[in-house]
Amino acid sequence: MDYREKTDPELVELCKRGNERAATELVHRFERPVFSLIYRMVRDRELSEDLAQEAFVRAFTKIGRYDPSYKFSSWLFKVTYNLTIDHLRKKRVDTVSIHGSPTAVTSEMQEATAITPVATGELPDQALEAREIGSEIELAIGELREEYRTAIILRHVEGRAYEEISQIMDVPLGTVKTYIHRARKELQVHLQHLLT
Amino acid sequence: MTDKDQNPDRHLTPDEVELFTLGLPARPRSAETHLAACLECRSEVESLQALHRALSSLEHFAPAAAFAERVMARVTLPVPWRARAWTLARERWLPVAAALVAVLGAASLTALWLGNQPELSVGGVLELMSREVREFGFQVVMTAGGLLWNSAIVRSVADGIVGIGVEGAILLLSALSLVTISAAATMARLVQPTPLRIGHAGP
Repeated sequence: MDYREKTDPELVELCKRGNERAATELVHRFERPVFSLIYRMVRDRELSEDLAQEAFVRAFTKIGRYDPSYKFSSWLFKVTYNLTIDHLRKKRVDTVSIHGSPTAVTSEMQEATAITPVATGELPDQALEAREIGSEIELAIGELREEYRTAIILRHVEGRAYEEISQIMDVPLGTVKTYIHRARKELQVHLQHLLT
Repeated sequence: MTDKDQNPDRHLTPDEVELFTLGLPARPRSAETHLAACLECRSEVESLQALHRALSSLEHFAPAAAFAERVMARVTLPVPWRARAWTLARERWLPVAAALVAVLGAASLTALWLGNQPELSVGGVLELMSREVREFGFQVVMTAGGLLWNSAIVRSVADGIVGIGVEGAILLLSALSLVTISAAATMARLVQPTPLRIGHAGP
């Protein structure tokens, strides 16, 4: 039986019956889109791999709850997006602002708890990632807010419809349109010299 | 559609710009008239078309090699109990068959040995077994309230053993024991299933 010829719903049905090879085929089929979405969000290869693995593990663990009336890929992206956003939010809480601790109430306390950026520029890992991410378009996408970034990647890189993006991000359709419209505006400004 | 929508002097809405960018027919038609005349809106559509092309050129990043294998090593799929029982039966058929052969062999040897012992009469062994079975049955029946004994099931079983002879009885008891143990072991596995690990990957 060649699993590569099976459709996503057929593979999912086999997974629900405990078929390992069907699950493997689904991983092969979606590893790049899932990894790419995460990588463009967190900009760290090792962390992206960990999160992508976790996304697949969660998806397969909850495969019994998957509603076949939705596309499997949309559902997988939803799991991926939620996982990545949770990670980014947690990281934000764990990170001390460069302007000092939020509990600092005086300017002296803020100065004492503030982080001074190192003048040597990018760390080696960051420089490597920047080179890998490479193009100006990627860098411009990296400047966008997380919600805008997700919406624009799903729309233009993954080719998802607005309704699908709305389901994946769990926001109203109008909000998705706003995200994408604003993301495009920001990208047009950043990439003005390339687009004219 | 309002009069405002029909006004060819108003600039395109973001939705209309997107429709033009994608090459889809825009409504109202006055938008097309406006686009032909308005440099600002035409510039917006062209800029967005260029952005679409630029974004569409982006490719997927690939995870490190053997990513699927690493994922699958961590995945436990939910398996229905019927599939689990079938998998167990397929995986454990060799030890079960070996145990069956061993028990049947031992039972046959015992039967042969008994047959070659003239001092042990078949009738004596049969009588002993029959009595033991009846006593055991009696205890069970008494514990259960005497119902089973009154229905004479145990005596029927004992009489049945008498009818098939000592070799047959030994074989039957061995087989029954084996079946009972196998069924109990299988039930224990089904009640407390070990996760089905997904190891090797590849289509």
